Parts: sequence; C-alpha cells; structure tokens
Amino acid sequence: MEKSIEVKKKRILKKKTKQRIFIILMLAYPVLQFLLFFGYVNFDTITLTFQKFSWTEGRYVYSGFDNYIMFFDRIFNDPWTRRTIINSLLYMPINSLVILPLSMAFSYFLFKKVPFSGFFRVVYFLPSILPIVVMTMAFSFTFDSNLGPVNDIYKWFFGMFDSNVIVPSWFGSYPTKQMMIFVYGIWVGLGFNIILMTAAITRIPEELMEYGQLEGIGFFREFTTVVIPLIWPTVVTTFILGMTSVFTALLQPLFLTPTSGDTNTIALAIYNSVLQNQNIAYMATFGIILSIFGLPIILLTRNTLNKFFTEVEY
Amino acid sequence: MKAHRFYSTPAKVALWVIFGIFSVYAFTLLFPFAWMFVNSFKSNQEFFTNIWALPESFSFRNYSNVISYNMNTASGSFNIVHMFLLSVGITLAATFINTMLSAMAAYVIARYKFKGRNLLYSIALFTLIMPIVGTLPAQFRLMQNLGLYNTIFGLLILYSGSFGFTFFIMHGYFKNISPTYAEAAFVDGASDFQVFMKIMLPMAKPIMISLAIIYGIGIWNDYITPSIYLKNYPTLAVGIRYLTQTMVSTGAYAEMFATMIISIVPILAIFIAFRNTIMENMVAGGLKG
Repeated sequence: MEKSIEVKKKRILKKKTKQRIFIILMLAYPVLQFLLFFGYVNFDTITLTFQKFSWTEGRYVYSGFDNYIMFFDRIFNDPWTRRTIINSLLYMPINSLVILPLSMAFSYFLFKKVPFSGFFRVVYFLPSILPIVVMTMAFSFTFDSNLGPVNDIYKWFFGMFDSNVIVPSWFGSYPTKQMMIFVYGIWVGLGFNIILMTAAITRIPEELMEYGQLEGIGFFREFTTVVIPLIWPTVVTTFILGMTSVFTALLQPLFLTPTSGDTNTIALAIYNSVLQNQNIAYMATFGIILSIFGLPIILLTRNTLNKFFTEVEY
Repeated sequence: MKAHRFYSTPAKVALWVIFGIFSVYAFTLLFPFAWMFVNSFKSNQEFFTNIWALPESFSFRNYSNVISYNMNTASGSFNIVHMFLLSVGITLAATFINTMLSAMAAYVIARYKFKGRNLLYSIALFTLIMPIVGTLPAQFRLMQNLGLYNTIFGLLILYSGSFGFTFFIMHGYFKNISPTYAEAAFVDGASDFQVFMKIMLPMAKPIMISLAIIYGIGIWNDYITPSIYLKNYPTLAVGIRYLTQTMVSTGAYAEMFATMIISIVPILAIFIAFRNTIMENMVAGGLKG
C-alpha cells in the first residue's frame, strides 16, 4: 500500500517536472525575444537619452541632461521643432473627430443594407490591404499638377464659372500640402475604420436591434441609443488609436511630400534620424519627453471615455 | 440580417441618398487604379497626348519593360522579380514563425497554471495599448550591436515578436476549447508536447490560417522595418517606391503605372481568394480592447 503511494507520488512528480520543462520550452523564445526587443530596448532608450555619440572615441558617452536641455531649448527657439509637433498634433482631431464619426455613420448604413452594401464592403477593404506605398502613389498622381486626372476635372468644373481657372498646386506650398496629407488620411482612414466599425456592429445580436425596430424608432435614434452604446468599446479603442497617431504618423508625409521638411511629424523625424544614423540619442530623448506628456493624456481620455456607457456583455 | 426589412418611404429616400454618397466614395477608391490600369497599356507618347483616351492597342510592353529597371545597393542589383521573390520568402518565413510562436505562447499561457502567467498576459496587453515613442533609436543600436543589422535573419527576429494581435486571438481560442480532448489524450499516455502538436494545433488550424493571412498581408506591405534594417536587400514594398520614383524622374509614366498594377495584383489575388476569411477576421470581433 505505502509503496504504491510512493510510486504514485513519484509519477506525479515526474509528470510535474515534464510539464515544467514543456512550459519552459514553449515560452523560452517568445519571452526572450520580448525581454530583448521590448524590455531591453525600452531600458536602453532611457540610457540613450543621457548619452551622445563621441566622434573622437567612436562610441556613445555619458552626457548628462544635455539632450533634455537641447529639447527644451528647441521647443522655445526652433520653429522646425514646433512645426513638427504641431503637424503631429493635428492628426488627432482628423482621426478621432472627423474620420471616426464619419466611419461610424458609414458602417451603420452598410449594416442597414444600403443597396449593394456587399459590394461597398469589399471596395472599402482596399485601403486595409493595399500597400501604403501604392495608395499614396495613386493619390498623389491623381493630383499631379501636370498630368493628374483631377486637374482636368477641376478645370472642367470651375471653368463653367471662370474661364481663367488656375488649378492649385496641390503639393506645392505648406498649408495646402499639409491639408492634402489630411485629405489622403480621410480617404484611406475612412475605409480602414469602416472595417473596424462594421465588425463591431455585426456582432450586435439581432434581438437587440429588433427590439428598437418594434418600437418604431428611426435611423437616428436607433444609431444613437442602440448602436453607439453597444459598440462603445470599439469606438473608444479607435478614438485612442486616433490619438496615438500623433506619435505614429510617418508614412503619409514621407510618401506624399518626400522632399519637404515642413510637413514633418514626430515619428518621421525619429525615423529619418535612424535611417541616416544621425542624432539618434537626441531623437530618443525627443520621443521619450513627448511620451511622458502624451501617455497620461491618452490614459485619462481612455478611462473617461470608458465611463460613458457601462460595458454590456452580449 | 437575413430577413428583409420593410422601410417607410422617407427611410427609403434616406437610404438612396446614402447610397449616392457611398457610391462616390467607392468610385474615388477604384478610379485611380482603373485609370492607371488603362494607362499602363499605352505607350508613353499616347499617355502624354491624352490621359483619358483608351489605348490604341493593348500592349504588354510596359509590363515586360519593368524588369529592365534595377535598384542598385551595396549587395548588388535588384529588379522587380528579385524583389518579389525576396518578399515572398520573407513573408512566408516571418508569417510561419510568428504564427507558430504566438500559438505556442498563447497555448501555454491559456491552458497551464504556473507562476507569472498572469503577469505575462498583463504585460502583453500593456504593450499593445501603450504607444512608447522614441524606442526606434535604441532598437537600431541593439540590432547593430548584435550584428543583425542589414541581415534577413535579423529582420525575421524582429518580426518574431509573439505577444501581438495573433497571441490575443489564439489565447482566447485556447481558453475556450473544451478540456476533454486533452484529458482523454493524457489518459492514453500522450505527452504535453504530443497533445499540443497532434490535438491542439490541428483543431486551431482554421483560425491560425486566418490570422496568418492577416499577419502576412501586414508583413508584405511593411515599409518601415525593411527600409531601416534591410537596406541592401529591397523587398517589394521598399523597391517599388524606388523603381516608381526612377520612372517618374525619367518620365516613363506608362511603365510606372504597369509597376503599380504588378505590385497590387498578388495582394488582390490573395484577397479575392480568401476574402471571406479575411473580412471576418481582420478585426476579429471589432477590436474589443
């Protein structure tokens, strides 16, 4: 009797050890990769902000708060730095206050079975799957000031009112080209967000929608009192994604206005510094300081928005 | 939404107005590509004469000419075929590695109780919602120090992060499957590894394929990572930009259109073939974060 308990205990112990080995083997690479490329990289980013590259020694040396001092000096004295930050901040209202509400309305009506809604859903998917290189090329060529098709349409349309119509140079000077980047952002972002929103709306159980319909409520009331509360978690996530675009917007200005410095963004400035391997310690500082200001705002917004509607499980 | 709804007259009018708006937006999405497609069959001369006319004769000359354009890097000369093959290889390898590793991590964290598993899950969730800017320089420095800069191997390691979107979907999946299958196999003497390989993975295959397609499209289209870490070996997403810029600078517009069409055909083919899977899973459940 005692012996068999011993044997059982040994067996369980052996099984436990085997299980432990299995867990370790399965997680070893993912955890190591994470520790190195997330843990260490974040730690080293902080280290980097207190360093500068010494050309005489050929390596990074401690430089105290120099990078931080340079940042605050530039914020006050360098128009280029200020322009970069302002451009980036503008992405937030475009994404969260223009594209998001528009895409919510679009998705609602797609769901309400506008004629050909199946076709529209497929077409609206294009911006999510085509490479951004191609999307931006298509966009900027459509507005090309010599050969783009929009020129002819513009001339034809405004030519009816004014025979000396001049087509603006869409990517020529500063405020116009920054606006064109946002027009592109809306064009592509709308399709992208419609996909997110449609996925959320389709998850709403039919009974909940039918209840409202039995009450005879119209589109607007159904949208605001039934749909929005039920897809609220997705709305919040998308809103927050729109806010983080302040820090991530990079490829749109890079591809649409390649030779221009005045449409610069935070992420593009960091990307370019890495690409040319120049001032990367300063750019790390630039990013970290902006994160320190940005993250609490983003978290606070997220918590506030989450309180609007109590989350319903369905 | 199977049953047909009966709408009142004002509601019908509203739906048709919205249909009009939808059509305009769909038109703006399709038009540039249709226009480039038509112009890609013209000669440059024809294009300059009239950007709206249909081609006089359909010629694939522009398409075959694209091959003669090269991008020269320190490691050699690359044309569009090289770029295409490189992209196929990297996308397949990165997608396979990432999906497998994500599934492995998700399975263990979802099904086994061990110290630190909740911590791992929370950290993964935290990294997904926290945008920390400015880490690119440190990542770049790490890649250089590890000797991974400018290597395909290094790029694959960067892509192999296993705690992203795929991880969360797989975690939810493994959490919800009934434990009876695994228990039966354990009684029969199967090892943990065998249960994972022979029972869990085959069961999860459909969802893994969907996630792999979505991840793969992301890798195929990725510009930022290869443009920094694989400077000498242009992938299609990176190379296309170089090639089309070269063509624009020499005025070879018709060939540029052909290049753009070539670059979107593979992705469109995948999309059409798997459109239901892709459309259902792109944001599985509407990104409930």
